[in-house]
Amino acid sequence: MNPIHFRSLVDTHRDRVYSYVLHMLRDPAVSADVTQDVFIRLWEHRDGMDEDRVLSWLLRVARNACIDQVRKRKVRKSVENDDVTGVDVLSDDAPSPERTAAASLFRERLLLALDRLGEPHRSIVVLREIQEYKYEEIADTLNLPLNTVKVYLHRARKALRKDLGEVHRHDYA
Amino acid sequence: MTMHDDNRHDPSRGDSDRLWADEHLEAWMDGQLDSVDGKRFEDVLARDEWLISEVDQARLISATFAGMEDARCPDVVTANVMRHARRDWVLQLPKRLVEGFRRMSSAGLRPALAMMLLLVVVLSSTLIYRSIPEQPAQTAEVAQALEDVKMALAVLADAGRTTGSTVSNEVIGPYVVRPMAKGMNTVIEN
Repeated sequence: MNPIHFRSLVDTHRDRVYSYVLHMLRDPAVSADVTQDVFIRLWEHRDGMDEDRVLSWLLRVARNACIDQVRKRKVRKSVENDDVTGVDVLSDDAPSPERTAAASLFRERLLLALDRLGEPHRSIVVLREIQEYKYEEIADTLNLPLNTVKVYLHRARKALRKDLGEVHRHDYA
Repeated sequence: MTMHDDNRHDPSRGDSDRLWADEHLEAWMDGQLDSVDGKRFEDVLARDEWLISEVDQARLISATFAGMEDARCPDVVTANVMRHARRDWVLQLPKRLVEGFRRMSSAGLRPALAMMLLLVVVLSSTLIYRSIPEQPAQTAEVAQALEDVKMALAVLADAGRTTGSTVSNEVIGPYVVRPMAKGMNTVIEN
């Protein structure tokens, strides 16, 4: 694989990898560094790489790098400066400030609940619910049986629901 | 908080249907329950306020996640990665050339490579020789050396023709390399 071909792979997959890392770490600067390291590793392992499965390989390496980062320092960063996405979930045609604020608050709590999920549940939620990968792709990426991925996703969703329910009860009791 | 409120938020305070529905809520949302279980879930949903709130919560979570789009990777990441790749590519170029030559050498292409090398040497030497002004006329020794070079090329060509692809070191050394070296030395010295 020469640099020109490699560049095409980087262009194809960089946003997906960066987004995954950003959702895992929620720190844009660290996520950029991790993404850079992931693609440098791809370059170093380019010989013999199955290009049909390169995204799974990238996400697997990215996930391990994220786990290392989380081990080094617990990432519990506020989403105040988080530029991952806009918040559209509760928006109607013209969302009121109250609705926008409520959506933002819910989103922040959801991300904090996501932080509290352990692996591989957290990766499964990010890959499935946010990045919309197929179950088979997630299974390939995480090297898990397909049914295990489905079971873990159900458990993770339930854990999030319970976690947010606890917050709701705590706030409004 | 009333008893009703407490019961509303705790599936363990409800009946077995509520517990069952709580376990199957995600599967129901994914449409993975069969018709019998789906009907059972919806029956519970129709009469259980707690389950309705849980379904609403699950839908809100799903919608919030769905509203999160992929972030754009900063350009500096790509720039740094490609800088590393290009530098590494250049640094490894000599190694790749040597490996490529070895692969070719071991693949029965040695006669062709040897002939190419000889032709390069002869042509470049001839050009250099001709570019020197006021060069004295060829001596008999130089003429003999050039004849040796021609002979070496002829031996190589003949060997290649008769063997098809492979010429052993025993042939190249005494019949090609040494006469060529001797001939070129003579040409250079004169």
